[in-house]
Amino acid sequence: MSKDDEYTIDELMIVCMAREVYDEGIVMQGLTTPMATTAYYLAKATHAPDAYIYQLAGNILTNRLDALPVSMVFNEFQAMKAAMHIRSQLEVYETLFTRTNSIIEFFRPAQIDKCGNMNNSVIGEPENPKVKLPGAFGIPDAFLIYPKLLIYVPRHEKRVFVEKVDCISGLGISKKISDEKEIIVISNLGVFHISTRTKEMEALTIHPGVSLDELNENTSFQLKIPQDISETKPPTVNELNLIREKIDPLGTRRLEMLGGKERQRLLWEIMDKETVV
Amino acid sequence: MKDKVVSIDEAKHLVKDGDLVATGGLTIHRKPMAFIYEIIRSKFKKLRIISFGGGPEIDLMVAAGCVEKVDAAYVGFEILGFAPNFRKAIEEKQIEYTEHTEYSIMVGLQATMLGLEFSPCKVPAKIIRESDVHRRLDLKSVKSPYTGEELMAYPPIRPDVAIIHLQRSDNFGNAHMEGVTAIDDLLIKASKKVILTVEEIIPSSEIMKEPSKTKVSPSFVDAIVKIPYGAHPTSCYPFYAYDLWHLREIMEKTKAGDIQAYLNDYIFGVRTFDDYLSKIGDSALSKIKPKR
Repeated sequence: MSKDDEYTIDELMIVCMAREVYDEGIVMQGLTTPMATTAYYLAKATHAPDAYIYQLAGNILTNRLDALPVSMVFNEFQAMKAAMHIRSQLEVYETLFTRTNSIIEFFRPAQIDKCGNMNNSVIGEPENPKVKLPGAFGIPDAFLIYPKLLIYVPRHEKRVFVEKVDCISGLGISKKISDEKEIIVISNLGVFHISTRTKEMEALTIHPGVSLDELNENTSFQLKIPQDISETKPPTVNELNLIREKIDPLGTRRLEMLGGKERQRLLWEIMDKETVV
Repeated sequence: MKDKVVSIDEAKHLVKDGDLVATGGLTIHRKPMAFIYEIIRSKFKKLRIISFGGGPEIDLMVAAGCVEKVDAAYVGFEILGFAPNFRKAIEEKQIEYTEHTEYSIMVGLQATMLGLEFSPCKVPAKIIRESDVHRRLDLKSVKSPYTGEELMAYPPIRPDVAIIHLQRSDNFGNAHMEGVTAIDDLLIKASKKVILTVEEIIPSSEIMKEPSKTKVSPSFVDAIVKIPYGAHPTSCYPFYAYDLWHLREIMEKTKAGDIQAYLNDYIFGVRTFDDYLSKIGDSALSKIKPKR
């Protein structure tokens, strides 16, 4: 790269995701989610040093930045190197019900609609599936419990931003909910928001270089876009250096931007790089 | 205390055709693979499998035709993607599947452990019904005697046998559990029978040096089988990481329509787990050893 502050879209997304982490927040890392993990550690290295980061399905509380760098093959081993407390999955849920307002967790949907309903269960009719997805894991429960939900979509396409999800794995803003609830969606095109007040997805910021046409062309439903919409704030040089050199030197974050054969190729490349003796 | 260390052949007799079998671990972490290979080799039929996050153990049992039904919140190979044989079996309607949520499995097991007839969640039933995965669980509801609110009543779950791979145990079942724990504590307490496969057996005198590290109470354990590398190709911290290269082989063979050849090669065609490990080879195993 020629200039220090040039960045790629995965890096911009990670910076946006990191901004959602706040000091003393309780961060739940799912399984192998390279972009989310990189974002959590970026937040911890910058504005949220006192965030609690629970890795590996929320089982392992790690200390400071000792678990770095983000790993593909030795994920659990890296976390254990920096582990302070190991807990069972039931204990994870004890936190969800008793520290509900402090939980920070990013989810990645196969489909999402304008109300924030997300699907990771099945494409096609649930009784007659075209594609059986691996499953939604804790999403169905989290979407009933968390007052604030965080979603990331590395590839903003019509088949992801759909008019109606094939199966509601995670319940978005439903008319039946009286408690306040909000959903933030960070994609490779912009940052979006839905709440019990607004009911439908609205753009908050649009990433530099992305046009409104591009946004609409890649969304199946009518997005609300304010006239005076501003651009997403780009990453700082410090943030970029941290991501590239300290947190994710293997480049695991780029896996989430790719699909099919390209993704496979990068995956084997990273695995081989990591296990060179 | 009773010595429960047995051979894999002896432990196998605790499983019966048609059983509800719980598998421990999480996705591609600490799955009891060596025991699963024995289940496949013994051609068990009509097993119902329950797992929190299922991975290759469910995928291979499905490929081998041992499975009638799966209950899980997820079945996949994590970063690698789909569990290919499981996915195919669902799409071709060869097996039944109930997609659970994390909570429905955990409180189901907890209800068994605590002697509860059901477990009511405070989230109102009318909201839970909006969520398709929850609705498809076919939960019944009760009226709260305190608030009058209609609540979902999660039914108890009681597996016939749980199969859990752990780092180490003594001869009696005082066992350690390291790294990702998932819901293995609940599976051990809620199941009628428990089989532990372990990387190593250590003397009770070692257990007694650090009793707080004991995560399994021996009164729950029925059989212990020592099988080093018994979770391969999934991981067992701190001994070895998951073998993504071997998992890729399973995926590629499935894609090429050669999964039966894979089963013949690695399961039916070998007599013991040691023979399996020789087939995997030292260089593959050294790749997944953590660097010190």
